[in-house]
Amino acid sequence: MRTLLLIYLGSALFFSCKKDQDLSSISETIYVRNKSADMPVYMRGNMSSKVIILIVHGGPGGNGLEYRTGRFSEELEAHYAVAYWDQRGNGMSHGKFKKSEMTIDNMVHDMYAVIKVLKAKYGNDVRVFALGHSWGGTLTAKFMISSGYQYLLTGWIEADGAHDIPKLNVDAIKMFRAVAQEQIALGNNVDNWNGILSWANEVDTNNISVEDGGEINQKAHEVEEWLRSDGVITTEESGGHKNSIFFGPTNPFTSWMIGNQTNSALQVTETLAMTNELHLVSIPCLFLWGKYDFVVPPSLGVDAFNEVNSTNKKLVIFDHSGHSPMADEWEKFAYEVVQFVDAVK
Amino acid sequence: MGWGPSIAAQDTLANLKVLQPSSYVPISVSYYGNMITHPGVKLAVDYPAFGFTKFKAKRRKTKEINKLIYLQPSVAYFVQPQTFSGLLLAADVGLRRYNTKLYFTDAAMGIGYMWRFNHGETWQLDDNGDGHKKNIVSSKGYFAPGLSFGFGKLWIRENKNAISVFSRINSNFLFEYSAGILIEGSLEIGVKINPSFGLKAEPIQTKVKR
Repeated sequence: MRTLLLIYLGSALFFSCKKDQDLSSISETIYVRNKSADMPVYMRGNMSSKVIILIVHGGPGGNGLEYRTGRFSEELEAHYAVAYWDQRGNGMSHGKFKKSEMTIDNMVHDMYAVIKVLKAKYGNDVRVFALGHSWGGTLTAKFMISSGYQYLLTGWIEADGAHDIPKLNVDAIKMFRAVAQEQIALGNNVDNWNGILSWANEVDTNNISVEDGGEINQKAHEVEEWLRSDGVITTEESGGHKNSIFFGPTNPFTSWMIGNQTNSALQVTETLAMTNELHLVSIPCLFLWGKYDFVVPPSLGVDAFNEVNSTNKKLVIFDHSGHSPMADEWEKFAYEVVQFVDAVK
Repeated sequence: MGWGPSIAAQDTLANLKVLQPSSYVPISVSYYGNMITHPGVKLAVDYPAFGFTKFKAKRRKTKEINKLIYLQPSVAYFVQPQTFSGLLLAADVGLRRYNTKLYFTDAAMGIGYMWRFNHGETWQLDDNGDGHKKNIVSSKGYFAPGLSFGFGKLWIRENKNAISVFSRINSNFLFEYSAGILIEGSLEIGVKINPSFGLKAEPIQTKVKR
């Protein structure tokens, strides 16, 4: 009896001494369960701002916390809370559902559920901005044009977002041709660029297959490295938050394995084109693009900027960036995000 | 020469000493590192099912190889920091081979079921489409058959419990995990004792091959 009493008093003392959470530096995991998927949302940063930047990661096959390793995330977390969400079938998400349920429509509904949960947990007065990169741009674009969902957000930030895959492929080929000629003229990596030019000239832009799309994506990453080695694209600075492979929240092998399966299951996205529906968007928008992004050419950013009906919109092209300006020019990227969010929050 | 029944009482007794050092069920406890470093613990019992011994005549001496088929129910618990904790209930059948110096290797396969308990709060939409906190422990379970390979060393001590140390690599296949199959690896390092107490084990059948 005496022992039990001591345990009870010890526990009471321990829990009564537990400090209230410091809202300027939160670090917690919440799960959102939706349509048979359990998806972690890793909350980090400054919640006292009452602003949440919802990171909608790339891939499919990426994970939210990948974006925390970039230096831009330190800057964002100093100002706002950042929600690193692992989408259905990505990262550390899990759940029992069928392959047929791995659809962009379900993922859009997942995003809706995540935002509703963030508001339920942190208060309806929190302002949520979605920052979608690459595939995350596809998903956020679909969200924006879906049944009034956009009004849950205070703003949409699209960074190199693939909201029109057929156009993306055609424009990438045009860009390969143009930049190859430019780089050959400058004497940079001449043999490599000649090879790219020959290949791009042979692609029939009126008939780009799924296989061609895969090759375009692969070569896009390849040429970015040449441009980086020639100093055209800035070399990423080291720093940012470290995600330990062995001790961190994300198991990279789980993320890789499940992400690959999800990527295969979502091949239907090759035909997804939303440019003509972006006029439905009316909330404040910020489009951020790397000038040398061959994965998702900046022409898509220009289109999105022109198409949306928002009165508050801005397009920024980063002159020394490829597909990930948040890594290549992180300071300018973070600056633009902070300026935008502070102006409309 | 083919398999045959036990042919010498002293051989059988010597072999039994290796294959079943005590008449009680061995118990093992081990570090269970999912992805090596996500820490956990595993408890298991080995039910020896069947043993056989092979004598190989060498130039100077006769080499003795003992093999044991065992059944191993187990429970393992581990934590992936800030993401989830896992509970695995499994039942394996394995083959363990001891050499003369009582070093052993083993291979096993089995069925299992793994629960993943979400870290932190789990929320879902209520009927009105608003966020609603779930107040119960949230988990999902997956059928998780597995394979494992290990090695170790057995010490048999006079008038004391036999003891083994071992290490194992396990892989589990989580079915219907996010519409796919997830293969998970884990490393086990542990100790097994053959106690002189606890669950009584049936004496195993052995066969000797010469």
